[in-house]
Amino acid sequence: MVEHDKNQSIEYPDQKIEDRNMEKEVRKSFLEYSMSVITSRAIPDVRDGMKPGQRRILYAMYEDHLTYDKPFRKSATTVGNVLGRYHPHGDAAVYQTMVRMAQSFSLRYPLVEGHGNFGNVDGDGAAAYRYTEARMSKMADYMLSDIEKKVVPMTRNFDNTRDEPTVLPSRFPNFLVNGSVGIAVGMATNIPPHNLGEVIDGTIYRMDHPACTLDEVMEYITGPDFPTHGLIYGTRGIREAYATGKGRVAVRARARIEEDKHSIIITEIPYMVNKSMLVASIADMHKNKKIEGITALRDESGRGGMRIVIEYRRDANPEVILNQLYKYTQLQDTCAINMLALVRGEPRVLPLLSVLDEYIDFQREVITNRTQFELNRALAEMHIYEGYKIAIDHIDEVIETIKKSESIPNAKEKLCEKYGLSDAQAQAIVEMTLGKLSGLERQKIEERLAKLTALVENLTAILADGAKIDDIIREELGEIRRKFADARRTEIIEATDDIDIEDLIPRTTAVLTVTHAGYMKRQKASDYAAQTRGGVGKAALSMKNEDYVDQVMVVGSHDLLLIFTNFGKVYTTKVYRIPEASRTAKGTNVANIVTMEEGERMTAFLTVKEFDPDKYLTMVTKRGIIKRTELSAFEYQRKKGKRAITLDEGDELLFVRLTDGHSDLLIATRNAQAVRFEEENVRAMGRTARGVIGIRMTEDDEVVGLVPVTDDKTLLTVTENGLGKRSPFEDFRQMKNRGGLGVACHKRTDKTGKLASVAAVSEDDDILLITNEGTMIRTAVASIPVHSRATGGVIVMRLGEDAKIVTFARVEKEEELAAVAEENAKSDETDADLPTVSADPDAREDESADATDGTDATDGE
Amino acid sequence: MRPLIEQGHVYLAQPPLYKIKKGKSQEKYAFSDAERDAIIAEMGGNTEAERYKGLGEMDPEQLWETTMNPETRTLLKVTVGDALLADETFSLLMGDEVEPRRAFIEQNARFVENLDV
Repeated sequence: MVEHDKNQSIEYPDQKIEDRNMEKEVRKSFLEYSMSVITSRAIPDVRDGMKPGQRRILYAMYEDHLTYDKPFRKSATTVGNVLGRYHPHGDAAVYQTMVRMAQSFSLRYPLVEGHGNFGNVDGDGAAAYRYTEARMSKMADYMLSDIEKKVVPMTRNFDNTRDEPTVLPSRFPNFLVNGSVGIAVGMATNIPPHNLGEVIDGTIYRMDHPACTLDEVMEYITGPDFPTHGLIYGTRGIREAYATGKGRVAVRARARIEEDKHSIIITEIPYMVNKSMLVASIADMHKNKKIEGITALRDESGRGGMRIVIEYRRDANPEVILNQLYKYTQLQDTCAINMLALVRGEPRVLPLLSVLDEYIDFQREVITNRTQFELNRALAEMHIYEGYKIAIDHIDEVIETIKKSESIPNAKEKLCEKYGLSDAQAQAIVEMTLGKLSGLERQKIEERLAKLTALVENLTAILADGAKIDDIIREELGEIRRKFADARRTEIIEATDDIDIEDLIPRTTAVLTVTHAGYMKRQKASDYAAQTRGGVGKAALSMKNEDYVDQVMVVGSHDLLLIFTNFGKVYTTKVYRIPEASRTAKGTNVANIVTMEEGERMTAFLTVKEFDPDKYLTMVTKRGIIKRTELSAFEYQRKKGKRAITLDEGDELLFVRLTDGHSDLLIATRNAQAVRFEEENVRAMGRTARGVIGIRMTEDDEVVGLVPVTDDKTLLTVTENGLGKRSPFEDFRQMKNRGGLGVACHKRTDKTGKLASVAAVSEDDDILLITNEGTMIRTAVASIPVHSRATGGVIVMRLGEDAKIVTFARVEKEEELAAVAEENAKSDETDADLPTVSADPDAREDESADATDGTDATDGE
Repeated sequence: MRPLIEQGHVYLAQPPLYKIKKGKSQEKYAFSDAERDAIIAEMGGNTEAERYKGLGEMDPEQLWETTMNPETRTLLKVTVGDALLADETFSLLMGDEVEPRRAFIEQNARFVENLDV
């Protein structure tokens, strides 16, 4: 290194130094970069659906005559030619682009025909370009038809040595048919592939009815059609995407359950999903226990087609496993449609109708240009033949003139002078050999002239009449349709927002049993009826200690079960998703039916047939907050659960009831305070609202029950020390305003202890009293006296030293249930509202109190 | 980096985008599409344009002539007008949020001068 004198600066007087503001420079450079990516890399042109790279590949192959009827050529040839002529970018990128155009699982109608290893759905790449061979596919011909007739604008290539097309003629609507995926800067595009026949039909319909609506066009273009088959679940996303250019579509694998072999077989997977990664992710779900019940997983795909086998445990519910797989893996994928395309060089998000209009306009342009080109060519030929006609009239003199001339230019000049020929005509004549010239036949020339005249007339007429141009477009699209259109591959299934295979499941009546500890099971109504009739003292459920049946309901298999948790969330599941079990089985824990968080437990549940707009959910929390929300607000479910109420710190959602908007309700607390009020006093709020104070209470108090007031029932209150009584509802005055302290509903003394639970009961009900030690005693309500509200009650259960009553539950009458179940089983398939059993208890059941029954209280504590 | 820029020690070298040749003797470099077109028009007749995608397309000698030679080169000295504005620009263009970037591109698309096709 040479040592410089630090003080001596080197000056170059001619060097130009310009100040450049960084912020401006960055903006300018970024803009250039992003616009370059948008307009000439990642986004396709709406007219031909091609990105520049793809267009250049096809054009280079076309120039090299690499059409489907010629032998294959090494991919390297094409890659090299594309780079050298038009696309000064990466070879790997060009090859990748070409490979994708050849993959039958990437393009609905491949534009390149590949020979050799072009990759697969497992994400294996193609062999290197020195091994593989390629040529244009038959369909690709129609991308370039008539390009030599100057139908599309050309531009100079990067080194100014050649012309390249700025757009391909695209005689079929490639933009929609093959779709496109691209990520630019600040924007991205995702156009799904479509069925050729459908798109052509839709295009023609739009040509015929330029003012038609989207719905009319969607009669033809029903939705994306993926090369990988699969199912589209739900049409709403499709319509939205077509209407606005953006929409989300759920795409599912095709799976079937083989119950006899305990396996789920997958034969088709969603578009652009990597199969080997999908299989690996299923394995992961099993490993980290996110999905339980899978015993084996094999990819049996081969030459015969795709086949992934998932075996499950005998007692597992395959529907649940499959739905979990849909939820957690790419077995169900979302196709986020974003129809961003270049329109006259600018990126725009386009609705379907605009896409069609742009295409139709472009085709009109192409046909106009082609017709004009043919017209010009015919006119030029006519002109020459008119020259021939003049020459033939004077054939000897013409020959003589040419012979005598010293040079060809000289001969031409003379001919032009003598016979009034144009330069082009004279040129054509002097170019003929003597033999040909003297052999010219008048008749032939005149015939040709007549033909040309007719052609010119025809072409001129076409150019003058837009309808004729449209006829040509229709006809030529029709021809492509006849040649290439095939059946739709992707099945489109109508669906509600939730993902269900509803229609595959028969509609039946079921008996749903739910225990206090959160175990659920489903029995066929017919089974239940047969088992229960005359059956005495049979344990309905093998239960863990301290668990008991909370509720038994006769429900429809397609009813919705709403499960509320202490966290204030609601999970929804269809009844048929609850695993079926025998009379003696304890059932499945709710945590295995819906996915809950740590520490979350079910506190209330109910079933609904539909989201009746006149119904409400009335919720009460531990701390006395009440909230009423329209049932319909819960219509759209989420797999991960939805918020039903926003809770204060430390509060829990405990009670939920389905109400009709005019119910009379009573809330009772641990300290035996109660308020009675009309539901209407609690204004209906949004789903996520916090609610209002329902009952004001002291710090140590909490809500123990939410009871609907019915005149023919009484309010049963039982305290933790085993004292109970019934009181008429008339004792409780309706409060004008909610949020008060309420009145005593039970006289509390040291003897009584605090209130354990409350319920509205009928004279002939039975109740089951449950202690903290797990003992249960069944008692007839009739044996409990009716006293006024502020009294202490009588002993209903004698308790040991430390024993306390935790709660009690109303017992369902099994026979009645069985009768209802039987009746419903008979009249299954009707969609009539099935009653949940509770009313009209005529037949009393004599049965040993063996914890065989359920109750009808929605409380969880 | 920031102190270097603030004290004016960062320069951008300017390699040309095109070389335009006519016959054997005439040779000119252009730094933008517009300049290229002007040179082609000025030379007239059969011109050849070579596009430089990167420095790899130039001989070392060419790079010296066009870009490095202190006697003739043009350097752009990076200056920061408003540090805050510059910072905002960076987060706009390279930050996590896509939407503002998209808006920026859309609003300014028509001001683009050079496109890499």
